Amino acid sequence: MSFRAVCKADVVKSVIDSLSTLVDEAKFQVAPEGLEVLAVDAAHVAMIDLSLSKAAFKNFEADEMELGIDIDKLSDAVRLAGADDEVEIVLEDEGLLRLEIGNLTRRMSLVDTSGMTDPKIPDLELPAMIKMPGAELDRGIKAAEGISDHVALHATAGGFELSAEGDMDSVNLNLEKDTLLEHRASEEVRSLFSLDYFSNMVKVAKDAGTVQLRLGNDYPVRLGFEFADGEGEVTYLLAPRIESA
Amino acid sequence: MAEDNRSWTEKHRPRTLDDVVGNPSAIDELRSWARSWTEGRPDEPGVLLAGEPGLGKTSAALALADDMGWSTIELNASDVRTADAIEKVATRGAVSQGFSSTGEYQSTAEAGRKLIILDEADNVFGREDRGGMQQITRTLEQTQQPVVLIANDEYELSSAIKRRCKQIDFDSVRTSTITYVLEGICEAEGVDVEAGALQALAEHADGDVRAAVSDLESIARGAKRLGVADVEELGYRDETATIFDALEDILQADSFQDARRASFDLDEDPETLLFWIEENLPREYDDPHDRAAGMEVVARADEFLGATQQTRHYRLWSYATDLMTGGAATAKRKSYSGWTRYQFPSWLRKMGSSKKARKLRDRFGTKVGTAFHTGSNTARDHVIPALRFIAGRHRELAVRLTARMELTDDELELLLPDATSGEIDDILEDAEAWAREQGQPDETEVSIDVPDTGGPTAEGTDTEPGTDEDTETPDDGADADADDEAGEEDDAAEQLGLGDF
Repeated sequence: MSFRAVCKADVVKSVIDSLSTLVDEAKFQVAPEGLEVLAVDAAHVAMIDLSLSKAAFKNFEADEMELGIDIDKLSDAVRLAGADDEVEIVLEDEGLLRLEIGNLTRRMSLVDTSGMTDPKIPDLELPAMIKMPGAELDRGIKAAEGISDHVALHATAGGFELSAEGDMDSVNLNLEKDTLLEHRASEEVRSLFSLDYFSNMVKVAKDAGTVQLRLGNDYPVRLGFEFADGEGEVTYLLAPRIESA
Repeated sequence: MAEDNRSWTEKHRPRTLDDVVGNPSAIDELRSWARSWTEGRPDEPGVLLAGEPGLGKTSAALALADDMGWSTIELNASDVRTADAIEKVATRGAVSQGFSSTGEYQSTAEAGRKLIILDEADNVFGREDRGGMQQITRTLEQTQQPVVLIANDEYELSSAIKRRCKQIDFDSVRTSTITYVLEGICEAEGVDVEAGALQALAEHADGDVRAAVSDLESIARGAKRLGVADVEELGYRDETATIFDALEDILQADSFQDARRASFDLDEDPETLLFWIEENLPREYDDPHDRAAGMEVVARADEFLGATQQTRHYRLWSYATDLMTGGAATAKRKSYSGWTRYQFPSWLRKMGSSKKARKLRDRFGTKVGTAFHTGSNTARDHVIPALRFIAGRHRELAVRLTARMELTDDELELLLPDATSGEIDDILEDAEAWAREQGQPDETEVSIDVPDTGGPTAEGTDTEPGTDEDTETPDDGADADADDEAGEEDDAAEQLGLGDF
């Protein structure tokens, strides 16, 4: 069983940021063509599907295997690297991962994956689809965070709206159809989400440039974006808040 | 079938509530609480399963989720349980729809709930992490999903938590029931059993199903046959004898030496052991002469314990121990055998259950004392009764006091002993609103007496008035003192933002 990968530190950092919003530990499913992580957060409210193809790496040689990785540890190790530094990751022994960043060597133990589940991204019918610059969405979220702990996402034939209501205050981000990169909404849909989750997801997504949102009515939101020059892809699924009767 | 490495307690956990043994009425209550969720959020969004370890509380919660088709999110004893961790897992899960661990979307609209299980909820509240208890309260307030709290000692839980939970008590499981469970497991595992072996094992477990299953696994896993002798061996392997066994050995012993020896393996200090003997000697000795003579020796043992405490000559401990064991055993004329229902020492029980109340009272006293610039004893004896009188008649003032002193719900209950829990909640809410209107509430403790000099001096100003008071205030009773105190109270009242009353 062997695993050896070399890539820019930036790519690893994107992986870490995407995962750490939801989980502390993750099971990386490694194959010769690349790797994938599927995980549900501890409160069972959100999921992530992250995939990274071989082409994102300068060098990638791997057998099929599972690597259980403590995201915090990985983050500690990679934090010391500059964005353009190269990181070499090698499976040294069963249960031991070695990271080489320049002349720095960091060895870390792997986490037991036997207790981790293998979730599947559910097939959900989400009729509305919107693409926009991540920074735009992030602005709306930042404004909403000031006054509420949840946010409503609302897609209509005319565009997309993000709104939050506090005790007295409210925030609206209104984006007309033609200001969006892409817009498809045959019916009007609206769902409510916890900012605890959504703002962190958007924070990660905005660095990617374009984000894709898929929405339903009182249904989960699917937030997708690409990283590593399109060789990596993240899909978040977030379950809606339960609106109290 | 592949090798199954799970422990037997995991592997043979009941899959449905119907298979959970013992406590039938508790199980019924649990089931009907769960059904109440099918018509939306009930008034008691949580249940508290209370009882000794090993009675099937966790099993019942998990089986319930299975029966209802709910997924579960669990915070176990082994997880970190700070306020932050509870927030991340329980509180967040409580307000949203969710995905099962396999990734299916569950919507409450289609009865797809998730059961939030906080195991060993009484252990969440470590000394330094009072936030944990409040976070559970918050979870219960906000939750749109069913919550199960599991606790061995419900007294550790705050009243705010208990108010929002339906409490269901679990009792010891009967020996015959445990035997039945063990039979089922032996059958499933293909172990032949000698008659009487499981019965003995079940008795040994003393009502604790999990302990019985663990014991069974330790002697029968991988075995083809289980004999009575195997079970007897288990008894000798117990490293620390239970206090109940030791009591029986001591009180029923025929010789001084036997009784003395019975206490050797016991992991209790002489003080605790004395409480147990004192409580149970009269239960064992039914002859009046034996009772009197026995208690006489116990009293003598207590004198030695007292002397040990006073003189710190721990060598005296051995006299106390010898007297309470050997002495008590040889004081009797009759000989006793058979089973006696021993009880937990009532003195320890009372101290244990009032421990929390005493702690709360002290904390409240300190808080009021800090706000009114007086010691906690003065606060308790003089300030609090006055506050109680005023606050009980003037709601707005109660609200402001609560906001200014940042009282918690249980402290507020001390201030307003006659208020209902609904009123308490209302006042807390209003206090929060009022504090928000007033801006930063955290200046209160500091800004009294001292012009606002900003943050960094906060610590210094906090201690100064206290020390002043200590040195200036003469003993109780003096007229000057009373005046002083009244003046101080007025001052403080003004500073607390109550000047207009």
